[in-house]
Amino acid sequence: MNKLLKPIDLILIAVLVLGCAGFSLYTKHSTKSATAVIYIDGEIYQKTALEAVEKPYELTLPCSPKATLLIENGAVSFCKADCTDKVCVNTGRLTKRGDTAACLPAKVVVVIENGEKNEVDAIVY
Amino acid sequence: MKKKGIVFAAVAVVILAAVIVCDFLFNKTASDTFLAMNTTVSVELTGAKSSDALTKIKEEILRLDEKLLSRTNENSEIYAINNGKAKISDELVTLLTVLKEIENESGGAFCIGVAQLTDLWGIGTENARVPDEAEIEAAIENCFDWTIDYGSKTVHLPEGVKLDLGAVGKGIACDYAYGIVSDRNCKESVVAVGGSVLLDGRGQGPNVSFKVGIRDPLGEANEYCAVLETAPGCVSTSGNYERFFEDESGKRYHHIFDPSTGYPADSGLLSVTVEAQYGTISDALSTACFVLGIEKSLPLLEKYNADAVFITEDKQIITTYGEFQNETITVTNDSYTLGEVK
Repeated sequence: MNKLLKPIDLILIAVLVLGCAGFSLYTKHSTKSATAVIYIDGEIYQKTALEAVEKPYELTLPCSPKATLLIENGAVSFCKADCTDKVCVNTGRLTKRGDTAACLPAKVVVVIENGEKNEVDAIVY
Repeated sequence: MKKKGIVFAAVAVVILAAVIVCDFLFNKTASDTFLAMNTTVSVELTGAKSSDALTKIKEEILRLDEKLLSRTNENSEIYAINNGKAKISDELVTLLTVLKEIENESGGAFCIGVAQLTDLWGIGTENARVPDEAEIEAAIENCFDWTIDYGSKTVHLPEGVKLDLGAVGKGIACDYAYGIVSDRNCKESVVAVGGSVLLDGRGQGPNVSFKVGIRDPLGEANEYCAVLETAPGCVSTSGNYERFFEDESGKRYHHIFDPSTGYPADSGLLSVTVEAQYGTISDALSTACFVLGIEKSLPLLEKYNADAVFITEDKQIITTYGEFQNETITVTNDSYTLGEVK
């Protein structure tokens, strides 16, 4: 038997290594499901877990000009807006972490938090 | 023997705790998305002081917009310049000096003295229209002739000329963010101000790279057609798809004007993405290169040590990246083909 390391030591080392690895994995890959966070005028208006959506539905926001979101399983998009430029509607569906759509005239921002990671760090447009 | 085991266990617990605490402190992340400068700003930071840096970045970008660069906010210095002579801050003197230099170097493809032209066309507003030749002629006549008086710290505008920093404000914001993440030594920072993004990875070793999706000019806003893998720096895109209107005959007019003609730039491009060390440069040059077209852009890019990805109307993606550089580009949409500048 090795004099320096007793079985109890080996167990402790194993626990230590597993503990560190587990913690590191936990912090880096905590995969909570995709959540649409809706901001109106800088304040969080609603958070919706997109995986839990069973039937698609429309959500009209209390903002001016009026804007309506279509909330689906795994995706959210602006489907109607009374603004003039319609940039928000033209943005399309948000599905991945970090995807963002905004209606500037209505001061609404929708961001996906958590969920599947985007393959890119940023999109330039 | 048992005692030794307990000591060892205690040491193990302490080390585990230290690893957790260190990881928690140094890999602390902070992120936020908000509206400023007429666009969406999204910030993602990693580092011990990331939440402090985030607060400061938000404050600075809002201040930059409201107090300095906005031409609609009555409290901003640009608003004051456009509405009669006003003494300006040293901060704005420095910025305008850089912008004047880019105007000159770009041979006038980039110009900030064009607010009157933007207003005349009204693209993106309910009043969008194609103006008369004479109106356009008048709007561009003296657009380059704005000057800085360094003695009195004022800006002189010729009759009818007003400043609009819309083509460069987002890049300027990236440079302010860079100062903040440097001071606070953030390990990794991605700050996207509309179509301009700051990528910094000072804590991630010398070979750190970032993946930037270049928007598909013919697709939706979250769709990209190519991925640029790049070293830290700033990346900006100008494209003809962001704001436009169609006249009665269905002809499309976009919002990036050629200051020499007063009409939307027509250089055969759908978008230009520029990568440079500073956001002010990448943002201004992406506009200038969009106006100039590929060939005439090359000397300007070289002058500022910048690289570009041009997407042409015939769906070619043309880059200035040589084969010895670290940057790589991958086309992710099959309907585009990759080419290189000769």
